[in-house]
Amino acid sequence: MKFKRRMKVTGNIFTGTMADIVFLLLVFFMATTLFKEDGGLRVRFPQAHHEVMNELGKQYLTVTVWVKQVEPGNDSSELVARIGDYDMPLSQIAEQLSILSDRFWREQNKRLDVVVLNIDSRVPMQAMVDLFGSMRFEEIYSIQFNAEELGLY
Amino acid sequence: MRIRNRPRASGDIPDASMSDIAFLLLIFFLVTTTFEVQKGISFKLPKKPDSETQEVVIDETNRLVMTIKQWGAHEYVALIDQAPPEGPLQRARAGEDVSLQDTSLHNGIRTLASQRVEAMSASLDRLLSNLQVAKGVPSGTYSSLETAISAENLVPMVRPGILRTIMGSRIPLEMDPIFGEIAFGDTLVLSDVRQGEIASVVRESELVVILKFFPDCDYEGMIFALDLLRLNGVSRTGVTIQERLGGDA
Repeated sequence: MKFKRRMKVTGNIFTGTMADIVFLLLVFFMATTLFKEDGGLRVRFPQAHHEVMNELGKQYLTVTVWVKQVEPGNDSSELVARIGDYDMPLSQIAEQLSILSDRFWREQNKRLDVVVLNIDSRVPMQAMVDLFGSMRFEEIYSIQFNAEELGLY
Repeated sequence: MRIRNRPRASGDIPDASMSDIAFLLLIFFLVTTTFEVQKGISFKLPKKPDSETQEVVIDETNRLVMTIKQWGAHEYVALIDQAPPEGPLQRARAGEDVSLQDTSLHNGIRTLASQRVEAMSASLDRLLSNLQVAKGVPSGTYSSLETAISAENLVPMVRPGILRTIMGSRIPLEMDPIFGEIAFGDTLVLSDVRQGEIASVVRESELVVILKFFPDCDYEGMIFALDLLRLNGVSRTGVTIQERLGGDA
């Protein structure tokens, strides 16, 4: 009489595909890692409570503006403003934003939703209020003031 | 006689340590990866005045005007120029500046704001308007919020605000047939099962705070003041410059 062998349950976990999974994860993180800082100026952000801040949704079309005073405290010192990799005087920012907004509309049929302002905490308010005035003139109304979360440094 | 085998050069590349290297690299990238998340304070500038713009006069019972100046590095003081009558904050005279970190100023602003919570219908109207903008449909497409929720198959929910923690039981509450119990400072959210959050609105106060900065005050002072106001339930804010009295030499 022939006896059939019983199926044995093994205690091994199949790890043959482990290396493939690891490589996939590796490629993902290699592709998404950013070492380079977003082409902006090195600014010192003001601080705010995280409860009052909100994240910008991915669906918003934004332009980031950087502003820094070269020599804080010195009245004759210059304010440097930057959009992308281009430096310009602060007085030209609103005009450039308007040009970008028109281009978005022409090329992508999308409106510029939010202007993200990365402003150094030592920039004088006179310059800021002038900037707000010129942005209003160009009909750009939505702003986000970027800030560090309070207590981080 | 025993003949020794000569060592043969094999053509294989040893790959046993490959997975170790991959793991090391994986851990390195896991640790160093930062997904860029920009967080900040949202702000809306007033519309550009034109021939069709009507001048809006803010009622003095809803208006608080403060002049902000800088006393030193990271030190800002406020002088109350105008305040609602019979409120916790009163108009101050020159020299009666109060630090922006002063808790009596925070409490006063919070009390003024909580006494002027907008009508529930105003919050719901703004939410309906935001929803129509988010959906890209013309205003007036939906007759009411209930119609929009059922037509778009949306889920209404309330996100509690920080004021619930700060004010505790003293916070003004209201009941709504769609959202249930809503407190001052809460966010009303409409979500889609697939797309997530579609539109939201904060239950805000009608108090308007106008901040007049000295021209040489740092930008940090404005963020400090906006942070203070938002934390205490004020979302309607104006920013301007204190006009200098007399001419500069």
